[in-house]
Amino acid sequence: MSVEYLLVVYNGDRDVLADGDRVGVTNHTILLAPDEYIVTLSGDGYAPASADVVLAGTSIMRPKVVVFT
Amino acid sequence: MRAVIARGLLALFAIVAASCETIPDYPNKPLAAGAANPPPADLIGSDPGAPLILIAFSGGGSRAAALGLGVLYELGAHTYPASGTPVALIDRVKVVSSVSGGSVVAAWFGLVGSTRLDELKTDFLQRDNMKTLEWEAADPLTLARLSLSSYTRIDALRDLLDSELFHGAHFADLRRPGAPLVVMNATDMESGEVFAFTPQRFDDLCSDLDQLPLSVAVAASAAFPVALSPMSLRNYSYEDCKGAVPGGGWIAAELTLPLPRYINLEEFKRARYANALRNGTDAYRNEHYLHLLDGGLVDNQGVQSLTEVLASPHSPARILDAINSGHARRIVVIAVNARSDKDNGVGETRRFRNCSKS
Repeated sequence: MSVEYLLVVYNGDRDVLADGDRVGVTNHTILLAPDEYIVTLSGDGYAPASADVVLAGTSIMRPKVVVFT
Repeated sequence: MRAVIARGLLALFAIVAASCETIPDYPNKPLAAGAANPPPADLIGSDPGAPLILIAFSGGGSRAAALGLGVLYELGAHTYPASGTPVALIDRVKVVSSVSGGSVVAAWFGLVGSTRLDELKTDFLQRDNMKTLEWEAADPLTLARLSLSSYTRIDALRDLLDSELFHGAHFADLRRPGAPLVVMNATDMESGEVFAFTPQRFDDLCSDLDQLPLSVAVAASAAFPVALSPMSLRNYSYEDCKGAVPGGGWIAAELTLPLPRYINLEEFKRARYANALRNGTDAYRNEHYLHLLDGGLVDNQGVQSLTEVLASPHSPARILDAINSGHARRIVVIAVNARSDKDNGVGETRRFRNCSKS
């Protein structure tokens, strides 16, 4: 099983949720299995409300970057 | 005198009538309405530098149990330099996945920890349990139960495990402080999937894992086909609690998003299986009852469930989250494989003719 890398950028510390389960924190690279995930943050007051993320073909140097504001 | 004989006949008739009952008494009980099985206790701890050890004990009968016990002894004999006093590695074993014979040692370790490992050797491994089963099988009472009631050969193994080793212990008894998460694995005859005895899986069945005897899981994990009958469980999701158990959000995401089946087929299949067990929308098969055989039919090393616990975002063990959040920095995975690799002579045989070889 391979590993993919996800970086969720947000102006603040929030939990990162994949399909509703906590998998890490914002602004730190997250290891995940390759898959398609609905990514959200804990709490509210951020946009977009969720991101549909396809994790495949990433590397530690080139993670998938998702930005919430 | 006549009255005594009549009473005796009446009692005999009552016993026979009762033993003719063929509806099996399923060992698993339903969850309370709207409830879920409690997740495992915190496995991570407060020291991110402390090693987190995950072990898979393979199948292989009593050889596998003995090898697993030997590995635990070795982990008890070695320490790592924690801040302050050294800590035995066995006390950092936090997840144990097991199959068949390996499930005997996994369940025992989960139940008693590192302090009473010797009892497994004296009370179970050093005894001739096959002889006990044979004596049981020759007992007229057992023969009558096997032929006249729903009592099966797997029930005999379950009863042996319970009387000789587990003494009525249930999964709730695994919830002692510092205990590892024990994941015993069987094979679902209907789907061919690994069936792991975890809180998550029992949520799918709407069944209370805490109330299940440990001997049931160990026996199911070791139910070698033909020699033993399957262990049967009832799926309460097809009865009165359809859709009531929380925690299935990832299943819907995995099954409704367009790409998971092409990117991560294994995870998609896990979601599809969980959806079927939950009697969810468009379930790909109906599983009102589960019939479980030896876990070695799919994965004799128990690594599939170990990988799921380690890497799935949806595992209640929360290890992936701990790694990503910096709370667990040292992960050790040990696969204990009891397979014997003897030369069986097949490679020297020129050809096979029906039942003989030449």
